[in-house]
This record gives sequence, C-alpha cells and structure tokens, in this order.
Amino acid sequence: MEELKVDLTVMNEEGLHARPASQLVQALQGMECQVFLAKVDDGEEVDAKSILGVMMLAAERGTKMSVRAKGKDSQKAIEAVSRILSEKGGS
Amino acid sequence: MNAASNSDLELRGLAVSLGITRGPAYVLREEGMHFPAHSITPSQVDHEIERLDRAFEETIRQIEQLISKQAAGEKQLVDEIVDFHHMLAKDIPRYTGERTKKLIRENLMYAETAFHKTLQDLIGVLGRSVVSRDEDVADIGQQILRNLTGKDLADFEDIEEPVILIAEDLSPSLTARLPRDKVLAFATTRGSRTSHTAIMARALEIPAVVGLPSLVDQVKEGVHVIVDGDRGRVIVNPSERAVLWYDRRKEASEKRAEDQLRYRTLPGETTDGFILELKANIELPEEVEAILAYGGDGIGLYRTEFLFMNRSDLPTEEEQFTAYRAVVESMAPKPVTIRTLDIGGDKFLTSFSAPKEMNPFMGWRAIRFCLEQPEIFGAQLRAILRASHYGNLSIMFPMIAEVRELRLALVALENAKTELRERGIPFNEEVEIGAMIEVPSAALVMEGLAPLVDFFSIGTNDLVQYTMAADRGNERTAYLYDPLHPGVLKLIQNVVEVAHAAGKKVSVCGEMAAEIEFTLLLVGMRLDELSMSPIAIPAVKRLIRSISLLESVPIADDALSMTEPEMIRDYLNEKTRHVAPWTVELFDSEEIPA
Repeated sequence: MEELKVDLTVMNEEGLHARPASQLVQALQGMECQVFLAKVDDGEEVDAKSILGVMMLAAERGTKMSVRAKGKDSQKAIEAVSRILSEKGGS
Repeated sequence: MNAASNSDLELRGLAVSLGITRGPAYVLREEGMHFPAHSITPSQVDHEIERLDRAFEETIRQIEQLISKQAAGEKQLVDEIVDFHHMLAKDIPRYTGERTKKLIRENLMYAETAFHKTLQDLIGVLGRSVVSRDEDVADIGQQILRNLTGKDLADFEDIEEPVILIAEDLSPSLTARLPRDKVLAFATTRGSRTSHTAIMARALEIPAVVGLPSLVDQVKEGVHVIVDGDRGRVIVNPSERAVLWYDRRKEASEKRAEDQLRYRTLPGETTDGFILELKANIELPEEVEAILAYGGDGIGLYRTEFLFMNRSDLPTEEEQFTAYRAVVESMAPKPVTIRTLDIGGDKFLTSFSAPKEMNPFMGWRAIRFCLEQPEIFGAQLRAILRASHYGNLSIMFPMIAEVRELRLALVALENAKTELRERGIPFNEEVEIGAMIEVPSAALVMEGLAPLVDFFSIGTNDLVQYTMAADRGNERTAYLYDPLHPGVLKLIQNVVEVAHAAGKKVSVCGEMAAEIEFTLLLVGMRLDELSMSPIAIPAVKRLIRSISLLESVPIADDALSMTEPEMIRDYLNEKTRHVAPWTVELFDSEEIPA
C-alpha cells in the first residue's frame, strides 16, 4: 500500500486554529486513505480526519509538522494538507 | 390596557452593534440541567448506554437538519460555524464515548453525569492548547447534555413575524440555529464587545445591546421592544410617542451612516488645515477590517487583555508575537499602538490566582501588576518588540502614577531589548514609547514624565473615575462621573501643555474621544490624536472637517474658565450646533421629548 510522508511548516497566521483545522478535516473527508499529523518535535500522531485530533495538536504558526498518508488517495491528501497549512490568511 | 404605567421602560447597556430597530420580544430563558450524583442499578446500565448513544445521534441529526435548512448565500461566517459544529458533533463521541460508557458500566453513573465528566476532561485537555476554540466544544457538549436530559434547545420554529431576541447570553450553537430573516436584533444580560453575541450581531449586521442586568426579568414574551444599538438602549413597551421618535432616529441614523462613509478616505483636517489623527481602539484582530471600513488612521489603543482572558494558562511569547504581528501587518503602513497588559480592577486572569482586594480599582492592576511579574511582563514586551519589526508599532504603559513607575517600566523594556539582541531577533530599535495618563497624580507630574517617553495617551474613562472618586457603574455616584468636570479638564490641559512644551504628542483614547459633544473642546485644547471605537470615527471626522482650530481655541479657553460641568456642556453644545448645524439632531434627540 502506498505510504507518503512529508514535513511541512504551519504558515497560517493564527496557527492551525478552528477555521484551517475544519478546512483540513473537510478536505480529507471522503479520501481513501488514512492521514496522520504530528509535530516534528514531539512525535505523537493524531488522525487528521478528526477535528478534535487536529485541534489538540495546538500547532502554532511556524510549527514543523510531519504528515503521513497511507492508502489510495495519499498523494491527493498530502497535496490538500500542504495547501491548507501553507495558506497565510488567518480568520 | 394597564401596561401604560410600565410604558417607556428604558434599560441601558453596552452598544455592540449599530442600528435601531423594533419588534416583539422573543425571550429565551436558561434552563438549569441536573446531573444525578447517586448510582444506577447494574440492570440500568444498558439503558443508560442506549440513552447516551441516542443523545449523540440526536445531536448530529439536529445539526444536519440545520445545514439542510440553510439557504444558499448565507453569511459565510455562519456557515462555517455550523460545519465546524457538525464535525465536532461527530468527533466528540469518538473521544468521549468509550470513557463515558466505562464510567456508566463500572462506576454505575447516570449517562448525563458520566458524559458531563468526560466532557469536562476533554475541555481541560483542549484548554491547554493555544489555538483551540474550546468554547465551541463546550457548546456542542451542552447540546448533547440537553438531549440527554430532555431540556430542548429553542428551535425557533414558533417564530412567525421577525422578533427581537432577548436572552441571558447567546451561545454559538444557538445563534447558528437562528432563522436569520426572523431576527431583528439581540439584547442580552451578559456580554461584552468581544463576546460571541456581539461578534455575531456585527457579522449579521443587526443591532445589539449587551450588559443589561435585569433584562430577562423585565421583558415579557411578545411585548414590543426597541433596540437602539447606536446608544446602547432598550425601550420596553414604548409609548406611541417613543415609537415615532425612534423611527425618525432610525431613519436619520441610517442616512447619516450613509453620508459619513464619504469621509472614509479624507483626513481629520480642520478647515484651517490642522490635522488630528483619528484612530481606533480595538481588542480583537478581527476588528481591523472595521477600522479600514470606517476610515481610521491606525490603531491608537490595542488592548491586549483579550489574549490573556478565558483560559487556564498564560499565552506564550510566541503566541503573543503571532497575534501582535498579525494586527501590525494588516494595518501597515498605518500605526498601531499596543498597550501592555491592563489586568486587575474588574478583570483578572483565570490563570493567575490574585489575592482578593478590598478595593480592586485602587489596587494591584496594570503596570503595578506587571512590574511585580517580570516573567509575564518580559514575555509580552519581547513579543511586542518582535512585532515592531513588521510594521509601524509603538508601545504604551497603562496606569502610570509616578515617575519611578515609568522608569521601572522602561528598564523592563530595555531588558527585553537586550534579550532579543542576544537571541539575534530583529526588532525596531527606534520603537516609540508612550505613557497612559489615567491617574491624576501622573497628570500633575508631567514635567518628570515628559522627558522619558515619546508620547502620551489620556485614558479618560479611568482619569474621570479617579479624579472624581466616583464609579460610573454605581447608579448612586454616576452623577459625579463627568468628563466635563473642570477638575478633569484642567488635568487634561496640563498634560497637553507640558507634553507640547517638550515636543511630545498627546492623544485621548477614552470614550470622551468618541462623543461629538466633546470634539470641539478637544480640538481647541490642542489634542493631536483621538482614538475611539471604529464606528465612531466617521461622525467625529465629519465634525472636525467642519470646524477651524482658530475658532476652537477660544471656545476651549472659555469652557476652561467655567466652574460647573453643566455650564460647560450647554456652552459646547450651543457652539457645536452653531459651527456644524447637522449635529442638532444628535443633541436634541438625546431623550424622548415629553
């Protein structure tokens, strides 16, 4: 099974707060793959398809994140995550 | 009708969203929920688990119903909240379901008691994270609890004609359920400019007044109500005369708002070419948009308390830096003045257990608190300095009472600069520093303060309260609270004179700056800058553009020679009416004519 892993930096003005977090979860909904997010520094993975999981990460702007996707849509998922994490505009 | 005796009952609160409207009251009352503490019998376990699952499903279903009811093209902010809540309703059971069921099975708890506990734990975990919105989690958790306990959330199905919504407070999930074409205005018991009710009302562009303590008891369902979001008034059961008067006001207010938008791109310049900077007071980064919309020249007072409130920990330097930088960048190249933490008095940090004081407004607050908490103060100063690299930023210290305090604050700032230099982090070495004048003693030792800073900002709300020794929130002493008291004016005059002699600028950032009845006086007293709520800027600007400095100075001199506030008020109103006839309606319409 295809597994992809990339490291990204959170660029959102106010970090991964409610709005980008819900955009992220929504974008991944329906994709055929598992997606995990972790802070590079601390390593504990959360399910990127879970809003509470993403919120618990409490990733501030500038945090280095590692994204791991496993399954058919891995490529698409990684692209979506990197697009949303790199959006500068906050709420 | 025996209601006549009760006619025209006027309640005063805080105006948080502009506009005037009237309609029948729709009153929401909060229902207390009950969590039984005694155990269930083992035979009840399956039943309780089933109740829990049903409540989880019911909550998701309710939100889905809401989504299906939404018309296309609704306000984007509202849509996003509903979608966010939908995700939370599906996710909360994932995180709490197993643990809740374990509590039911092993500790023989009632479903609501068990879920209440796991929900609190979840909120506790999220509360520690800096970017979460645990308010929404608590809100959806409440909805699940309501479904468990059978206390229904209002569904607003029974609203026929558009209503004025009266409530203790409005939660995000409640506002998300509102049929938006059927709500004319909000009026709530609790709330502030930055509470959810206020933000939502501004997003929906409907009038709102909050902070009306006796509201829910005083307003009966269906009674006619006027909400004046311009002045923060709610009129219950208005007389025909009041209705007519407010309808006229509404028309005039709408026309004025439209007229004043013309001034958006023009400076606050007197007819003889003297420019006053008109800036905004803000608490939230989201308010930046409003400043630009109303034509503000920058931010004269960015209150930083909001970052510190309603949370169980302190914001880190990094988090503060991110927030300050966002505001500075979005205003650039316009200037932003950040006020260091003004905590204490009526608001204290939940993350900090402060001793209970007999007299909090005379107690340990603002700079007094910060100087004794070098870690909290240092982190904030470093965050502000770092943000100074990204735009036009200046810093000011609140509640300075004496020269020594200002010196100590400057030492703390120097320490913060040294630390950043050592860490190799860029900041503006020339960042301007100001002191707030809110304590009468400071206004009288200006000779000692002026050489130490670049500018002064007069916080008139506190200056008036401390000069008069009167709390304006206290009905019995409110009569003393008057910015036009000659004692207050002489203090302001001294600040301006000494500061100008030293080549330093002075601004007023209290509510006095927002009231057009004071504008002529402030211009004549040679203030350099006024900072106010963004919505007040257009009217003040329009007035400044219709007066000259040449005529204002002698008017201010005359006012300063008078000994009683009422004489000064009458004199200023008359002069203002004379130079700017369009203000007549504003003065005359202060009270409903008898």
